[in-house]
Amino acid sequence: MRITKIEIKNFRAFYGSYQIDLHKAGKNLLVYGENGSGKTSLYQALKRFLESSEGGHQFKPYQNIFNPDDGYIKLHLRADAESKQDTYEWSETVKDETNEELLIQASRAKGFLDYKDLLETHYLHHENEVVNVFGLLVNNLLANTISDQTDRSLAEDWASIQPPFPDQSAIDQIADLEEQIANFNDELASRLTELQAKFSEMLRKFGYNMALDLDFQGITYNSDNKTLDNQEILLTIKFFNRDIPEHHRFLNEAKLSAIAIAIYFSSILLQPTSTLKILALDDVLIGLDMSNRLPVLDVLDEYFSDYQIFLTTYDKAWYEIVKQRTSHGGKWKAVEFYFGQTDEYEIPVYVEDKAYLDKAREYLDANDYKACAIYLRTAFEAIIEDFCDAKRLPVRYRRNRDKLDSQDFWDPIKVENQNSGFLDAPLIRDIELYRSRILNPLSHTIITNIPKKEIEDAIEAVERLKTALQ
Amino acid sequence: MIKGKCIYCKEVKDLNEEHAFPDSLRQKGISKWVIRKHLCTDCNSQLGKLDVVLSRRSPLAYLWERVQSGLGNETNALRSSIFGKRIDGINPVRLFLSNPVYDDHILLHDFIVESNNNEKSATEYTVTALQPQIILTLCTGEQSEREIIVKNQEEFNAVSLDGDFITDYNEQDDVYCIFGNTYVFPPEAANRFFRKVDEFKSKFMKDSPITQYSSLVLFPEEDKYQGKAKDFYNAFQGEVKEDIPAKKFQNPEVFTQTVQAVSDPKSIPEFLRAIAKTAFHCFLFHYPKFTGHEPIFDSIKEFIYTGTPNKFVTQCRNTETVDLVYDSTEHRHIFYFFIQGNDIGCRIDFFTGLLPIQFSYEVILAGNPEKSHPTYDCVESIPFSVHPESQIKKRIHPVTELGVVRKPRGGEGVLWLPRSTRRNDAAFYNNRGIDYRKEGKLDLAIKDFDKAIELNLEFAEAYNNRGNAYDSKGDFDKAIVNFNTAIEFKPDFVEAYVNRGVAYGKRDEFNKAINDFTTAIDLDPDHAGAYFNRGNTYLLRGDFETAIENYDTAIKLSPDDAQSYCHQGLARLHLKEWDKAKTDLIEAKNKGVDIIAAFHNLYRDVATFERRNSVKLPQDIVEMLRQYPVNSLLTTQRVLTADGEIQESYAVLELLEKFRNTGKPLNEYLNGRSSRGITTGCNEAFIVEQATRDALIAEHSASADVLKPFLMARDIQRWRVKPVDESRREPQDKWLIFAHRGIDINAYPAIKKHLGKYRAILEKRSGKQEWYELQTAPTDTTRFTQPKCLYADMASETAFAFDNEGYYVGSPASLLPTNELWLLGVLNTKAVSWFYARTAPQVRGPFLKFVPRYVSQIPIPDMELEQKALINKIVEYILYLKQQPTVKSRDLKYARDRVMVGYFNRIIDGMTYEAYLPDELHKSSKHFFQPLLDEQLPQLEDIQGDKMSMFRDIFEHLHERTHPVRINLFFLDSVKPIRIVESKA
Repeated sequence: MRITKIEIKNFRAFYGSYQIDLHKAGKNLLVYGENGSGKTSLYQALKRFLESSEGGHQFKPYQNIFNPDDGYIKLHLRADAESKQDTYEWSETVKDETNEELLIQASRAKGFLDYKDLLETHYLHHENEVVNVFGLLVNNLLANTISDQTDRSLAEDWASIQPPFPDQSAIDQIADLEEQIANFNDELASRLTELQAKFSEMLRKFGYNMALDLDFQGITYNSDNKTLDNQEILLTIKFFNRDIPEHHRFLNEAKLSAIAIAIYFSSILLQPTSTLKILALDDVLIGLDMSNRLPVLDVLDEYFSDYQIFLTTYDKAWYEIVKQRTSHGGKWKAVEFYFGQTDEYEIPVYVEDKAYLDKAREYLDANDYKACAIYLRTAFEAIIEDFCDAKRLPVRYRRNRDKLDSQDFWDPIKVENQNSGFLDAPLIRDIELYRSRILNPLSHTIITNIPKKEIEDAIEAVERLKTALQ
Repeated sequence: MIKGKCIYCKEVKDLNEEHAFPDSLRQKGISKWVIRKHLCTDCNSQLGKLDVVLSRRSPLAYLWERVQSGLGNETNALRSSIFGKRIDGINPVRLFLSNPVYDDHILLHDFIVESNNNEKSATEYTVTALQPQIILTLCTGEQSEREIIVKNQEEFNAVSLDGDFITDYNEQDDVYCIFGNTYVFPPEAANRFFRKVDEFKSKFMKDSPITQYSSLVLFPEEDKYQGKAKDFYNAFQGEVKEDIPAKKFQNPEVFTQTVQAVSDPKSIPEFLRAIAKTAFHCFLFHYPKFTGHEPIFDSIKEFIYTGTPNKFVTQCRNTETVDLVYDSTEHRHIFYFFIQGNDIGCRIDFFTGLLPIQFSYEVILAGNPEKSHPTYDCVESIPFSVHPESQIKKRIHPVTELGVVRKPRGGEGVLWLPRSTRRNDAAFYNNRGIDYRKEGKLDLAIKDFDKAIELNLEFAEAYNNRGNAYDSKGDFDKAIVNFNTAIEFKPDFVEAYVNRGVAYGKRDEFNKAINDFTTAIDLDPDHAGAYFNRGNTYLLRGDFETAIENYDTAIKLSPDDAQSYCHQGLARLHLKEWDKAKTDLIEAKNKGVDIIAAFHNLYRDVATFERRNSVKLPQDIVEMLRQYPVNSLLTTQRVLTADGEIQESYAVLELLEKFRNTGKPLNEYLNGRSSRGITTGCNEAFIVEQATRDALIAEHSASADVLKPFLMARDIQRWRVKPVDESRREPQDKWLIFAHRGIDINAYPAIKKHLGKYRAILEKRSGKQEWYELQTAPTDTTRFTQPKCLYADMASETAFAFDNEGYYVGSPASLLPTNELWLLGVLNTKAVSWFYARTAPQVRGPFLKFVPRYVSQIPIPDMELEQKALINKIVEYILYLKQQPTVKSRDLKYARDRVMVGYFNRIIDGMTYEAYLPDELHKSSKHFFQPLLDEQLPQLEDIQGDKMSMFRDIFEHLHERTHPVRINLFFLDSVKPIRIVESKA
């Protein structure tokens, strides 16, 4: 079972409606996105959708705050390319569809990890290559794994032994609490034993030839102070038959990140799998050294080949590498999200196959001029950038690539035009007119004052430009 | 006037209309149980005198007189006799209502009925009310409530034959009521309590010669705390007086009325005749098939008419079912009828407004009076009347039909079997439907209403009731159609308008709903419920000012309407009227509304409320509304109905019913009862440690015969028993001196000497045992020596243990006479825990309370033999594992062994779910029995060699991520009913 299409409307950062087509085969998705471009909202959309049955299906809290139209998330699923496509919707009005067993099971077995889960690796205290990873494991990496005894997630089991603690005189209640703590310890200890074998194997794929030991002595209840003591899982490294070099900080953040990811992957691999298998990683590879990122792709290939994988990143270079590596075999689709902003709202810019102009027209028809202008400008910039790229025109150098603006591309095109004459004078005049009025980032404040006709003309001018430059 | 043959004198005369049940004891405005073709005028007037006897004898008279007499008609002379000093009279009768702290109708009197034979004739009795006596225990925090209670029980020598001495528990305030009149308070609740007592005193005892009521403070260590208690009490007394509104003192209420019940000892036979007459006539009313002329009734008629020596009327001793009936808030006289062959009988429980222990009578109307008690097959009740100003009134629910049939909760002896004679009675089906609906059996209810309507096509009430049943089912369209019809046949049917309004409201058709409530109000301008519901509708529509106006009117009409206060408070939150909102919510809370639940049902949680309404609630209000975690078995599944009651959601009710339908109640399955353990009356004397035991045996070898291995509630854990010391940490064996009734104590000199040390305490115990005998102990000890299941009285989920080592068990732990291990397995599942948590009402903190009465109602699903054998096998594994050192230790090196036990338990969970809900699980392709049967797991005894490593292999195999059992368990909670049980829906 795979997701073949994702439709999102007015969910969190998504202003308006978006579609991501994953084709009949239900491809994996690689997403490049600038900060604020909606990349994380896409990750959240999948997560919330699957978890909505637990959260009582409330869509409202996730409604895009700038757009009052009722939002939704729709997933289209197919068992395989030949079978029928089913659509499931979650919105404020349609709540029952995510109650399907298929989706509840998918949620239970899913893997969703984001960079925030790994943030804690930066705060861990080192002491002679011994790191206490209790918090990291219990609160993040293993939080959603399910106990076979209680049928709850580890996070729920952990929450159930949190304060308020009973009075010292309430012997029954203390006995009950201690019983629960003992069960928690057993469950965690047993889980760690299972994990250990699995993740050491996985770490070797990362190129770390070492064994790791997770030492957990069990938390204890201190009834005098009313505290849970001994919250420690000590991560120790055992190199094969070698001592750890003194004073050598081996466990840097990058390695800890790699270990964390290996633990997370292992924990998923210890649980049964659902029919719809989803693994989503939001920016989690960013903390790794480049040398460790590529092995992750191998691990995904080897262990998660039957999962549908969603990989997002804000690192363009890394994105290009992955895109390159996954371009064979047709299992992956790569998309890019950009960040658009008006004076009133932010808007992710994304369409299939760069059909920005169609999207601009769509917004124009809906009388949303600001969103229209954003897409129109994106269309304009994409056209001239692509042209410069194709013709290998020299473009002004800027240290920060993001500072490049449309002028930097437009000027060389005009120079080139003097030789080739592919643009006629009226078109150049129109483009320059609209570039100052509509096609620049500062135009949003005035755009509401511009007559619709003029925006239509601008779209038409960009279309003419596109034709002329092809 | 009809002419006919009188059933008594057998002459043909003018027949009189006769009220089968005395007028004086019936609630006014209720149509009467009248028989018309039975008695002639003469016999009627002759027998009518008996009604007077019935009314005047017994404390019934007390209430009756109170009702009859208007205010201020009594003489002072009489009044003083009410609050006079206690004289040790004959036949003391203790009267008290449930819990004075939480009920407004405080009735703290102790009564004695005394003979006046010193002065006047020997024929008069006076009922004397003494000053209120409350025995308080203050929790000081140094000891747990439980310890205090246990200690008090011993000191007080309480009669608690079944060990169930906690008679009430108020979770909200953490107050325990033990033996019916002793309360254990945390200070905050005590404050409120004293206020009530003060209020009571000012109200009812102002003119009495006694100006001070006695508050007997009982402490674990009397001397040490006596002073403290006094300070404590005094401190509150000064403070609370100001809080009580002055006007509350102005109208002396019914309690200031003096009461004198006059009775003649000679009239006791007459009293019994009166009972017999009432029983007989009510029987004739309910079973019209019988004319009363049948020869089988000749003996009872003779007794009623002439009072020949009684062999027909007996006072009932077994009050368990009575307790259950009276446990409800409705005040009724209850009639149980039975017909078995030629045996016909009736039992009457008279409601007195008080604990009814003395007032149940059984009358054999026909057949052999010597025969044992049969099963009652028809239960009828009649609402009891009280004075309009009595505070008891509000507890009585208005009843529109006569003869409401009811079945006591969890009652065992009382079974409902429809009588053929009443088959064609529309009212009967209607009434039974009402009961079914109350129990949540909606489909059965609808069937009955269908039948009622079939028999009487214009039965407006039945349409209305059927509408309610559909409404409860969530089918509002059908509900509305039914209310429409009800209104068509009875255009002034106020309730039907209100109900239809509620149904419209649930369909979000607010305008229609408001119209209906308005019509109801036009018809009955005093209908508080209509205002309340109209308020709710405005609240949902977001018109908070109008909502508040409506609640306000509802409160004016019915000042005790706690729900209106609660919703008014919530409406005010929207208007940011914090102070007023707080006042309302506090008022509602004090009146017993679970405001936290009400809030969370409407708004999920504080954060959601704040986000949706863009407000920030003040911190003190947030504190009031914040939900604290409780037993997870009890969370989140209750909903607030439109009529303001909190009840289980319909999905839950439906699921409970499904559980019930899959098998039979535990007690029926076992064909035996769950019973309480032994009450010693003094644990210190009777329970000894190993060292003492050894010494006793060394002193005299015969001691060994009466020293029995012994368990208390704390020793019972899930699956296995484990004797521990009081701290619950260290293992410790205990022995019971089994000094049963009739023991020849001199044969055990060492024991006698040992017990002799405690003789003073032992003699103070209540009950009829000798000082060296246990307070209660069954004569038949096989229940202990046989294999059995045990359970403690408090646990957070079901925790049954198996014992085949012949342990004796102490109250309040209980036992189940069974050696079927699969049954133990089923009982220790989540499914059963969930069912139990929802059907047994008492809870203490995070713990459920386990008592035989409710445990015996757990439905045991039907299973195939091989399925039982499979569960049996796994329970054997668990019991074996539980005794292994690695499992018993807490060493994390062996954590996986203990996880294995948990996993086996979980497997039984899965199988039990499959047994309760086979269709639901199979529809989702969740199977447990089949894959496990396919595994052909070995029997414990067949495992050769190292059993432990075999179990580890079995576990790892069943735990593989690809094993169907693991997969089905892992995804089990995607099945809808399981989501409900596991609190995930």
